[in-house]
Amino acid sequence: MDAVVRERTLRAALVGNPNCGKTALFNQLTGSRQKVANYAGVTVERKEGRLTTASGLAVRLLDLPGAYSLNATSPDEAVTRDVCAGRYRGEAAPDLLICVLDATNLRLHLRFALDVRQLGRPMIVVINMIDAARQQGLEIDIARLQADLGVPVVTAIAVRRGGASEVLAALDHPLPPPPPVLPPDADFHAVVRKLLQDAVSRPATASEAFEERLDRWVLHPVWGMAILIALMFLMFQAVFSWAQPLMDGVQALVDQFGELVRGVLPDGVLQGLLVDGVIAGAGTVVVFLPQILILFLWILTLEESGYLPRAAFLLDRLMASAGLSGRSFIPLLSSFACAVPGIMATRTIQNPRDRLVTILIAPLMTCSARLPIYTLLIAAFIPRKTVWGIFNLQGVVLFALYIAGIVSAMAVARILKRGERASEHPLLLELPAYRAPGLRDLALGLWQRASTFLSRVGTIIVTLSVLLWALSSFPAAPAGATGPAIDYSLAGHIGRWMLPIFAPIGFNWQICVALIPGLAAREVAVSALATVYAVGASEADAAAQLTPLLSSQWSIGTALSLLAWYVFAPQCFSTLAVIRRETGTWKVVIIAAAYLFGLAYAASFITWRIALAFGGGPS
Amino acid sequence: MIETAIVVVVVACCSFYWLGRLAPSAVRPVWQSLSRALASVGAPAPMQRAVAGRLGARSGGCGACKGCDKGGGCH
Repeated sequence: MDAVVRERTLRAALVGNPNCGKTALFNQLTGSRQKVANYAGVTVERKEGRLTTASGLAVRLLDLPGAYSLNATSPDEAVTRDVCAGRYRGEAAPDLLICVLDATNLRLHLRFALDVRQLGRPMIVVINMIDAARQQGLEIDIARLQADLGVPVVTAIAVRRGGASEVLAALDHPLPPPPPVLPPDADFHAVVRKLLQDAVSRPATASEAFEERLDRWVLHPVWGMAILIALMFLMFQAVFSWAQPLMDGVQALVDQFGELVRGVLPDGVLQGLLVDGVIAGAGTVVVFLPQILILFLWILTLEESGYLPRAAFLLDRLMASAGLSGRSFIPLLSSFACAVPGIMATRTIQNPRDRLVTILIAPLMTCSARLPIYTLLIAAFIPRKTVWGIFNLQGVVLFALYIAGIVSAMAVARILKRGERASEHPLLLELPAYRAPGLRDLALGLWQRASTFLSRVGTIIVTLSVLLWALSSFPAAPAGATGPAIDYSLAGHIGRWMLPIFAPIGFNWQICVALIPGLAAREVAVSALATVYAVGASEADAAAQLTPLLSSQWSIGTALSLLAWYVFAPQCFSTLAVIRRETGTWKVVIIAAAYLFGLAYAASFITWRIALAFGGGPS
Repeated sequence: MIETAIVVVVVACCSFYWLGRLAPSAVRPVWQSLSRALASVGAPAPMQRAVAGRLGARSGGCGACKGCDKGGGCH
């Protein structure tokens, strides 16, 4: 059937409490792939998508950050308040508010629906996660709720394909009239109690009892912390143990491709560019894809299951000891994937000083870009043996590096917040129901991570590898030169020029060269090292992989010093750019870069000196 | 000789890519000239659209994401 396209575009906005499924519904309706997770605070600003209903109505849909009320206490809640009230800069008030409620938590979410209704704008209510409510034995009388609220009410299962059909049908109806508004002195809690009494029946269920029992362990001050540490520890063990066969496979493919190109092309600059530049550079980084995917499989599973807010609750005391509130946990946790979304997620923090401190320490959380460097050096210098009977030593070292980042962040926060009174806003966190992670969501999340990583390899890393190859290959060695050609190249000169600065911390000139392109992104340092060593390699070891090359040419002290450098160094343009954008000043960027580089240099210096004292220097 | 020419072109393209990332305004005249040249020779529409897209591209973005919000936020 040919739908007649209406002339006007309907502007609708999704609003609701945090973690009620707004973004999942937004993705379902618009076909977008915005990040969703089973915890509050994933969306921190408005997002826009478009859809067309069956009757041809064009809808411009906004996904707004979750809010507990329209009296905003944080920057993200202010976005929701301003958009709903038509006060957001350059944005007219939406024609229709779509208030999304979690069917399993109506007591809390109906309170917000009443708040939205007070705006007196056309609205519909979507009871999301209706399947979860049914599983819990909840019976919701939709018709009664609709009559009591005075606005259209529909149900949805936002995470299921086709689960938003009732919402789509509701959009096709004429705009509902403005809803009735309660007097300003009305007791909203009493109204919610009446609505629940009239429209919802709730028998106690076995699953609820099980969740309560589980929470008794998971939220226990001692056992809960032990479970959290065990989960993190297992995660890093898995990164090394599970990924190895896959990494070996990818490495073999890269090696074979290099050999193929070497066999097809005659000796010359083009072969050098492809083999020593592109394949050695990008290929060395691609090998780490399995480890990154396994790390994210754990993180996404914990996100989806509903465990993460519980971890935030557990760590609130630890955060308080560093002068921060538990609200800093989600931004810092996001920073384990990448500091950019982590820094943006600080918008959920009301206290401006807490927010600034969280922004300053977020780059200390070990982002996934550090993983290639950590695993390269660990594989080269830490023996692959079992400790205490069950643990992989390499995994233990990786875990220690992550802990070093966390401890440093807490110490810096403590120093920055010294002498300040406790936060005025205590942590108020909604604990969602436990959920089995959906395979589709996990697969989608992993695909997005893989495509982002490969896209970075295909753009940033390949182009920098080519440029570094050119710098390492030209000018060519003069006639009669005895040393390796790279010694006479521009890169060789730059490396030696930087050496006086970095020699006191144990770095050689090849590392100095790799640090320059590594400013763009941390993992680029791996490809840069691969390119520098590939260009400088003799015929005999030209085919050797980077790991054995490093273990034969570097001392353990140099490797440990470089690891210490990367725990702190803010080698990421995107992170510095997002700090500028979120704080609106270059001053904070300069402070962040200066203190992080200072810490990196100090940590490397101490590590190098300790290594020298224990005989870990050059032999 | 051909090998050297290919290598020079590849290295120049990579340099141009990074110049565009670090100093977008410096490469804008190049895209503008290319856009005019393609229009004058009647180049295929997809090619013209691709170049026009580069002209309209924002300098922001994080990693592979270029979905910056009009308010300066990240999508």
